[in-house]
Amino acid sequence: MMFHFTKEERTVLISLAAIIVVGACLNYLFKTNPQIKNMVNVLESDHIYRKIDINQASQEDLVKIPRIGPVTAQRIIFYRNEKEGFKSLQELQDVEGIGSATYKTIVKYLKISP
Amino acid sequence: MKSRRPLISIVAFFILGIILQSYFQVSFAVIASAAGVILLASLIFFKRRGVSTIFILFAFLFLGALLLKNVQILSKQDISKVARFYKGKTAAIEGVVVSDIEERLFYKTKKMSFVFEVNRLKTKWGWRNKKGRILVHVFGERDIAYGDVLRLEGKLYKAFNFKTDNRFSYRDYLERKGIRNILSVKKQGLLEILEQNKGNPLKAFAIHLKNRAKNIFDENLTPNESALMQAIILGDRYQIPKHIRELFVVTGTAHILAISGLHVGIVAFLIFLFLKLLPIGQKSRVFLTILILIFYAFLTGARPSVVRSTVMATVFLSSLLIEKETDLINSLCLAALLILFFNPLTLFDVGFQLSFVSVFFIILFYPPIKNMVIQKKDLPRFSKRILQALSVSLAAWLGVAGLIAYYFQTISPVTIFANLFVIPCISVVVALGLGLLFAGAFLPFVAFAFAVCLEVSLNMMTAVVYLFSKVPGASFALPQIPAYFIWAYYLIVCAIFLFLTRLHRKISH
Repeated sequence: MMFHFTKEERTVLISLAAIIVVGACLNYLFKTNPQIKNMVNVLESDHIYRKIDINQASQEDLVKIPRIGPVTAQRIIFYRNEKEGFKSLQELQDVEGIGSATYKTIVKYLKISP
Repeated sequence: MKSRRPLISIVAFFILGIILQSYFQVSFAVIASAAGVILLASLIFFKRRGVSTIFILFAFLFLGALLLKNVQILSKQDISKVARFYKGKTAAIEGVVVSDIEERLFYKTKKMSFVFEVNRLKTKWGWRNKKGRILVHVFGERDIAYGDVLRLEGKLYKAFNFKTDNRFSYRDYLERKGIRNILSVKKQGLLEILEQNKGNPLKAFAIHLKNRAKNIFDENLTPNESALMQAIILGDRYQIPKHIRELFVVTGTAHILAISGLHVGIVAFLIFLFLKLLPIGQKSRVFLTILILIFYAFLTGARPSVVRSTVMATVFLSSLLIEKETDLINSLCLAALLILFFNPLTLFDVGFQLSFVSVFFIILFYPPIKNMVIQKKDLPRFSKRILQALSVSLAAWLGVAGLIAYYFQTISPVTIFANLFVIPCISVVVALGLGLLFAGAFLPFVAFAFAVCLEVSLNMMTAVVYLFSKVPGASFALPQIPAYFIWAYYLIVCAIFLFLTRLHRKISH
């Protein structure tokens, strides 16, 4: 009876074999083509940040971003009004209270719409 | 044969008792006396079914009030009674770590948070015995674990209310867990380990397994992938980055990040399948599956959604043992009663409300929605499956839309369609995640295969969620809605629904 598998045993064996085959193929593909792995790796990329337009964002929108509290949000809006809008995101570093570490964190959440 | 559903009225009166007590704050003596008198009356009139039933229902109403009052009464030695004297001062406290340690990055350092069962407090008259639980935040890296007896020094304060509208009161959230104060220990603050391994051995074992599982995820996946899997399989959501959590919230698919019916169902299925490979009988299989599910609920923190799913799964599996049909509404009511008996304050927890309302709406509204949507009986199988899935999604969405509008001031029409894609994906992710844990522990040479398949599934699911979040009109912000609007919403939904069901029945006949 060594070749007689129950329905459950066949299910488990086929699933396990399929995962190993597919896994091995994907592993080979990712190792030989790192650019494909980068494309697949959506979770570690900056693309999935929901970016808000720095020139349209309200105080409420800005405080939702990590490292931006009510005071920093007000300073950003004040700076924006003074300069009639941000021309580039790098100008954020000119806002009081936004250093390079904070800028690195918040820039992922912001954009400038044309 | 129509199912009897005696638990619906019991739960309804029990919940009413909790709600009334939360508003009117009647004294313990009055509630206890009333409960006693009514119970006595239900016994006296036992032979008169109708009268006895009414007294039983009111007894449960007072029972709900009594249990809530019981939870709210603090011991004379409770630390929260003296905490106000330490405002702005350093407090020295001894106690035991009674939860897992949550580690988060805090600017350039680490913040470790855990629940602490207080034993003693240092006063100007010396050490005094105290009781109660506090939340401790320790800044910096320290080597502490569940079950450690510690002496700590830090600032003791009441939890802040983060939102002024009181929709989400952090203070109330902690109070529901029996925590009324927070102790903040600075990097240079005193933290001395007096003893170790003084916790519950079963809980220590569960935490050890959980940490082993976290290590397997960390070793095989990227940081964000591991964070998601820790939420989906282990119930720890605090590591998920804000921008990723936001995607799921905006598309109304954040429920997949919490362990609930779908997850427990897949876990139960896989355990049962695995046990079928072993030479044991059906009854042993069912019994073992139930035990493992209960342990899984315990391991993942026993949140309301997990307990609900576990109770319903246990009832269903038990019905296989005793060969009796189960009623889903009765199982749901039993789960609610068990959770609320343990902690009546859970009634006010958003997670509890969302979990039960969504399942209740699926049970009641899915069959008629499905009958209205699937008019033709000769539809291709694939189309039928899609329409069935849409019907479930719509039923659940109708159920939670009111609560989500009230608590989160948002409405996400895209949820109904996003769930069609996300739910099959999460089934695959849960199965592969459990497979990775098994392989990581026992078959490390094939763990890579599970890890890479999981990586692709998880990223694909996130990409789909991201695309749905970009759909114009995916979600709308709403102004603050008063509570009575929500009651009106549910009444209107039920009324429209009853009307459409009757209309559909007339047309079919």
